[in-house]
Amino acid sequence: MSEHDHEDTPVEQRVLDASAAGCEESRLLISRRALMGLTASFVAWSHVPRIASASSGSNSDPRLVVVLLRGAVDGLSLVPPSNSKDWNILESARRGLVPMEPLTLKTYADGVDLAKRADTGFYLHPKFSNFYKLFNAGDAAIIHAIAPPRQTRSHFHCMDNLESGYGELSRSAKTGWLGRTIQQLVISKRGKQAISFGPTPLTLLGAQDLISWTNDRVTLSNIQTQLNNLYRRTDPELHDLLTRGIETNDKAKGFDNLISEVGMRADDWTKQNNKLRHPSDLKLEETFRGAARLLSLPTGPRIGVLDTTGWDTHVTQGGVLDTKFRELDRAIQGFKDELTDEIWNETVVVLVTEFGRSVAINGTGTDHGVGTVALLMGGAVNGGRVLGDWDGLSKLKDGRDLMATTDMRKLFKALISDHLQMADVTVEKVFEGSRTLSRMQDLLKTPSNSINRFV
Amino acid sequence: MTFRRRRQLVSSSSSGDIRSYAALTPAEKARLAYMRFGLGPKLNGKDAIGNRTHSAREALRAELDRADRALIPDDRVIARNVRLTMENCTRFAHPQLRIGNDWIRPLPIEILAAERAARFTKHLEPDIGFVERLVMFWSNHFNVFRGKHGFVQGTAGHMERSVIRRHVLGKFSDMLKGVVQHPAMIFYLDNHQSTGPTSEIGKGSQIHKLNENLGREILELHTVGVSANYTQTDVENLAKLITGWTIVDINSGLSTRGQFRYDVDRSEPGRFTVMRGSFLGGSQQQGLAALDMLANQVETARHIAFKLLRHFVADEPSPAMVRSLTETFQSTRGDLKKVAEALIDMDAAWSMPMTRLRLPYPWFVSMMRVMQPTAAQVTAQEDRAKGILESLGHHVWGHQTPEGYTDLDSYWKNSDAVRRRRNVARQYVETMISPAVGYKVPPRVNIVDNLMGSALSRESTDAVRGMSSDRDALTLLFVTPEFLRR
Repeated sequence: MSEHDHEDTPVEQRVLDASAAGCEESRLLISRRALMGLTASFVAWSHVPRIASASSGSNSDPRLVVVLLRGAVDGLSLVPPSNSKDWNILESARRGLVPMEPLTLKTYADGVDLAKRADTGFYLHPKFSNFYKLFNAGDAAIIHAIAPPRQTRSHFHCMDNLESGYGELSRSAKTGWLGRTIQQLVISKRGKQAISFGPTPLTLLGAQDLISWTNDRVTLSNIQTQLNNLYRRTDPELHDLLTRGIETNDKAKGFDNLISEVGMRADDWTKQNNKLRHPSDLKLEETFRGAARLLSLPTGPRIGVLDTTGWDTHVTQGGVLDTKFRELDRAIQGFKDELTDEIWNETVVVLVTEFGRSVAINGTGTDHGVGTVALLMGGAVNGGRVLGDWDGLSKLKDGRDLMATTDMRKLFKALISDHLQMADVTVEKVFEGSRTLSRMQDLLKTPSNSINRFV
Repeated sequence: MTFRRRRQLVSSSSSGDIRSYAALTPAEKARLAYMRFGLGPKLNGKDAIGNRTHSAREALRAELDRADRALIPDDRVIARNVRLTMENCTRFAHPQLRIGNDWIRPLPIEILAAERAARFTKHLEPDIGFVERLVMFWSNHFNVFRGKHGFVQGTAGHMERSVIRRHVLGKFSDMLKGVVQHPAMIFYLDNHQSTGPTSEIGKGSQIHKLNENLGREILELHTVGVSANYTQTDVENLAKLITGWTIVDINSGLSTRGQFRYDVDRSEPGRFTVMRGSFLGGSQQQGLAALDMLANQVETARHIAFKLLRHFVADEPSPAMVRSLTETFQSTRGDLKKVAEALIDMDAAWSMPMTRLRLPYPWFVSMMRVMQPTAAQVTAQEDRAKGILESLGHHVWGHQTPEGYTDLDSYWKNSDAVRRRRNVARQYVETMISPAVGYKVPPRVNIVDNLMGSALSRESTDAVRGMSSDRDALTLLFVTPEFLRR
């Protein structure tokens, strides 16, 4: 059996170069592993009882996935304004570096096609074609001109701010907003299993019993049989952990239990593995598909955080974003493909980034900005709309950046309130210090009403 | 998790019933010395710890003997023919330096690679590695993040060499003062921007303001700890006492750019109380006196004692253990060598069960120590090592926020941990034997016979011996329970 390492996925050289040439700060935050587009982290799913349905009194089994886009995604490339005034400002400031043949988002409010109105209307980057279909089907929405509250244009600060969910710099006793959410769910006896992919991100810190999965693409181990025997004889806990890790990996990869690598012969494994592996070699898509498979398990996790990076487009922004938007678009389609309709209809995926990018071009890319987009997708989403307060590009923050008119916490508060059915008082505990910040409304198709909320 | 532990190498039946050190077998002691207090055995490690009753403890004590043992001289750290002195680190650690279209080298990333290689090489030297573990502990305690800025990338290694390694067996107050005055820490926690509100530069300024980051973390993390009784005013006052502790502008053309500079024009005048002491602003000496005061507080002794015990021994050390080590810290006024000795003199430090998982970095280093790569091989594997450590979430100067990496077992022993270590062991062995690195796997009989003696159990030894290739034997060795647990 071949011993070559499955780790290396070809990534376009110019993507690597451009990412490597990103701003100093982000270059330091990008790791090669992260360029391969993954990390995720889960817990002994098969051994966690389904607390939610027993005590919730409702039939719903919502899934919530947060996708962190690290590096500051250019919202103006992903969702450019289509009204002629703003488009001209953008095209001129970007010296023509605007998406070619963007898709026109038709958004409706009271039957009026906003894209035709003079003062609003948006395009979508042409490589985001799967998302476009979801948007038109009413399963995806966009929030524009959004950012976390601390607007320092520093990756370090702003991502920390986004993940912690506080108004100011987070304290040393670290928790993330989703970690605190899970703590509250446990307190109210509606605990949900959460999963992180790779090292636990700040967003999830504070949650107990996290499970973990890393898409590391190493398949059959050369020492598995002997290791398994050794653990069975001398260290039951390690045996237990190894077995569960393998089982989770099998589920995430979509392998049949029958061909789980535990106890399988090398050549049989390779044959089965090659047959079942998704034809796409893109690691990001594989990770997203794995996430979906695990979220689909009857006793599997219900909350997860996925991570992607390489968005800091200081150079060759056009080409880099073409590649990365296409890659992300394929990944989110892959995610949806792995879910049944029933589960899709109870799923919300929210994609966020720490800030946007400058309106004006600088060389072949853009500098750090402020306002950007957040994306929502899932059958539970009240989609087909571009939300937020769009003030246009005539008045910019510090004369250079799209302003952020929505504090990202309003989005997160709405999700845990409406999708996870958390009562207002509990939401305020999670997002301490944000009492005056009202949550966004109508993000979901069927928001829970207050009678069904849990404390 | 519902399993029963069938066999536990070292155990205590209850917290009140600590087995004495002497009651442990030589094998148990050797295993603890290597894995709980050290970095794992070198290839002929069997001989490094003898068989007599107190051999393991004495072997550790012997490693504490020479204070200079921990040092890595500037001469051993070279990046592109540039010796990494303080001046060179701060001078080159600016990311935007160019002459025409060419980058000025070494780049911060090259400095970082050289510092990392020097660190790995140092880890390979000692028989057991207790002092190296202490260096890693203090480096994590005084966390800086290489990803903050190129400047930190280029100077983090220097801070570890010139401050942590210098004082690891010296006085805590000296280490504290050295860290707070080092450009890497000053930049990491933004103190170079901190300006007294009524100082020369600060008064009436809209942009020059007080920055509390470093002041806060000194109290919250470095000295008395978050549960101590200090107020927001104490934080502000300490921050004011270290205003003016800045660095020469890294954007200036000066050859001293990036080096520490006391700027009295930024320092806040006045008298400031911080906890039990009162100090005068506008004087670097008074700022140092404030740090001395904090270093000597009982809360600091307790905080450090707890952290050391949590790092080396158990997630929740007993109050008795904490009291005992606190008492040593206090009575020796923060003599870190004596504190380390007191730690290994504690019976409980040895007899607490080996239930925890070794953290990724020391586990990874122990693989290197078995293989003992040459200097060229260390450089050749550097990039892959970096990727592996990042994928495990534990890498050099890699923790973004000041509290550093946790020691809590539940964070590291997650559901995927063992599968990941199994895969990483294979990845790493394959990296090392690849033509680019060129390591030759020794015959497995050499490994098992000489590595840890009877500290490697009979079952593990048989399993390793029974593998069909030397390469697979080495891979299996790295994920035996003896290699994974601490």
